[in-house]
Amino acid sequence: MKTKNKYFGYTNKYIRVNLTTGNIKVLPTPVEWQENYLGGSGFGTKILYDEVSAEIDPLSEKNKLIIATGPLSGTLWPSSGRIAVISKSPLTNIYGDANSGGFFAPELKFAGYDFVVVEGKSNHPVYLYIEQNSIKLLNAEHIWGKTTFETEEIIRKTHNDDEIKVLCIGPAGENLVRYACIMVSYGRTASRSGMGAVMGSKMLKAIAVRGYGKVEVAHPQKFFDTAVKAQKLILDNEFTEGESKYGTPALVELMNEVGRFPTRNYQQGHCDYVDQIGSQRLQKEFVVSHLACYCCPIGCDKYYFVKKGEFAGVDTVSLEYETISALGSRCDNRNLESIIKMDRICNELGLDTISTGGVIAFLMELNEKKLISARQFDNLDLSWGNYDTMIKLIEKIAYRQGCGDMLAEGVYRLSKMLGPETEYYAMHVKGQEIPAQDGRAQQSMGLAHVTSSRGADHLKGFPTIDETGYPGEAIKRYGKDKLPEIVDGTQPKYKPMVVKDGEDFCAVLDSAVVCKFGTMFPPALYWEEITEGIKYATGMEIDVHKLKKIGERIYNLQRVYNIMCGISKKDDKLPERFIKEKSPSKRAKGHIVYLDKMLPEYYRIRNWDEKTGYPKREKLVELGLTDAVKKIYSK
Amino acid sequence: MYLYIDYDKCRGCKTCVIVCSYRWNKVFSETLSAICVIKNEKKGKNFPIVCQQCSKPLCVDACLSGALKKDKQTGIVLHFQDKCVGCKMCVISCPFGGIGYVAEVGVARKCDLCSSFDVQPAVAQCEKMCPYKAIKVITEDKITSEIKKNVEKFLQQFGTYRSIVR
Repeated sequence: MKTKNKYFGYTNKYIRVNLTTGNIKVLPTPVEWQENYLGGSGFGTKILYDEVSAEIDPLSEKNKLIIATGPLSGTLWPSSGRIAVISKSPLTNIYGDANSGGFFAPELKFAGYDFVVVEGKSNHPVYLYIEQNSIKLLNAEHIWGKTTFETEEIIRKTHNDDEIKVLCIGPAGENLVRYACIMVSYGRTASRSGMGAVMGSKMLKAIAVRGYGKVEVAHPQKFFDTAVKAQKLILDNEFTEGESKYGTPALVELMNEVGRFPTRNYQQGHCDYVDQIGSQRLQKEFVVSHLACYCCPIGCDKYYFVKKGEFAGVDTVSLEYETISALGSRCDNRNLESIIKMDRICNELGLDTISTGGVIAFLMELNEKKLISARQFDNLDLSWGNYDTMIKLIEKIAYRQGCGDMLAEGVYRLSKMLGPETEYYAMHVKGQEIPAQDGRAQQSMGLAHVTSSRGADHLKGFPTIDETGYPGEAIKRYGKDKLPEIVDGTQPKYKPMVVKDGEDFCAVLDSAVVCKFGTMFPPALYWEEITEGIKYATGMEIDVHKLKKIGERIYNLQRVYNIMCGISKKDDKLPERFIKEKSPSKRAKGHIVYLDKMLPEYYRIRNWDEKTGYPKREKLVELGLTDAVKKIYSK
Repeated sequence: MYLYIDYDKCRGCKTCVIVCSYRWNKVFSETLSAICVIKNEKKGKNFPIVCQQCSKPLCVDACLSGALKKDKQTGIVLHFQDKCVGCKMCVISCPFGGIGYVAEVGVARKCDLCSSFDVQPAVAQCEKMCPYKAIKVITEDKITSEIKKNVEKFLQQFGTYRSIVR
């Protein structure tokens, strides 16, 4: 149902703010974008490609920041509370995005807007305040320098409304730490790609939103029935209960068991103190209450509180598996209370815990290998597991004090500064620190880290079926003939196909915008269900085939943008450790990442040139990206 | 009958809020809903607020247009939209914040346990959709001392948290 040239599910309006001029415009959401890019990161990709030149410095005023919802945001669709943030990344210098759960996206929709584009740069700290038709840039001089928690509180008090949803940066973003994150309503965060630094460079402290409106869908009854069915599918999935009770930390024990839990900067894939930092102990000693994002039936979020000991009184919201690995095992830190404390500090200061832990683990390994001296690093004791040092480093990074100024540049740049002998230990892809998966134990993840459009990342392809092996789901999604290899984490066979499918599907999820929980894991909803949801919400004439094309189009356009930024096949590589050193851990013992087997096949499946890594002309034309052909082939 | 909410089970996802707005207006909105969830994100607490279907409802006394009536048989406090003049007296009189005001339509809005919902037999949609089974329709004789204690505990924590007028 398309009346008066508009689709439902959208508010069909968006905000364009120019911080240089202070100009604020409300514009109609282009129908062409809805049909071809859906929303969320799809819109973001399109805007970056059209409007942000690949040559610009991501921290200059020429960069743009897009905060976007999708057609399912703010509806009853399960786990539809996520907000996508897109910009050219200051960490990787290529396409960057991050997304966060919580309640910001529905609030923005209720206020009447699909997305916000922030351009230019203010000459003094400001925050953007959106309340229905009133959109203002307000002075933020009094909040500049404050933590994310203080910022949210001050903004809510200023407008005398606790229902205001705030997305803001902490000191790390202000000080242009290249992996600064954006915090959303205390516990949630859009962490990766340094989106917080982009806000900081624009002197934009926060975006606050309050809405009283509604989201309308094209076929209310059909949409309602589909959403109810989708919720039931998630609730009935056998893995939902565990995810709901323990949250992502449940993975600590599971991944340790299969040798996929990175320890000591990826030297190995398991640690022998998992009972000290795992989900069982967390649940028993620290979980106070369970929380959920907007309309989410899984509710992986928890509120943690430390009752006794050195860190008594410390609390944090949503401590994730990634953080336990980054600030725990990767730094060989077995003190769980200190991990909770560091999670809290990172949240307050606005740092991505994955990259922060990556930088510290890198330093600790260089210290072990005697490639650096303590003098270079403010005389701190950099031995494995020293959490006092880690806490000090986190603060130094956020304020760029002492050695923190160097560390704030991220592993890739830090390694360049410290010399070529350190390169082997710099665990990154395209400049972004690798998250908590060891590809040697799960080949699909090894490949996904390489092919992710935002540098090392697990959530672009998010392959899960060969994690510990889910044959039931593998049969449903990919057919019986592909067992047992497809669910065997140490086998490269079929993995390129799984990663490609995952990337296209996740591109749609990031544009719809819904969570990867309930879709990729627990693997409950798949193409059919999401297609139905989008069809009945928007009124578009869409089927699974068309939606797959949208996913492919978005992912290819991200690749095109990266190619314009200088990326090619030479950058699609892993740190040598994963290719040369055999894993000593559990199931992965004796294995490396078989990238040379998987990558060429991945290119073939994508119809990308095997020599250059560029999408072939005919692929781009097929996806309607004719314009992109000129851009990359006439360089 | 009334909606009993087990606050310990509530995770604050607002599915109840959103399904309620669908039940009234076939759209998704927080302001069109008869239930709301107050959140304290910092301390990880959630507090859903909805009409308690009081045995001696103050809102019925306060209503001068005759739009509110307690049904003797079911115990549900019914709201007749066509009689409502939107004076908000009921909103002010409710000690629980159980009645809201819908500016868009200019009338009060309260929970009637979906008894006037066009899908019959009427099943409270929030009870049906709550993924954490935190909401239950119960009759007065099912109110145990444990339930009373549970409700009291949370009222103490949130009672003075802030005024609850939407």
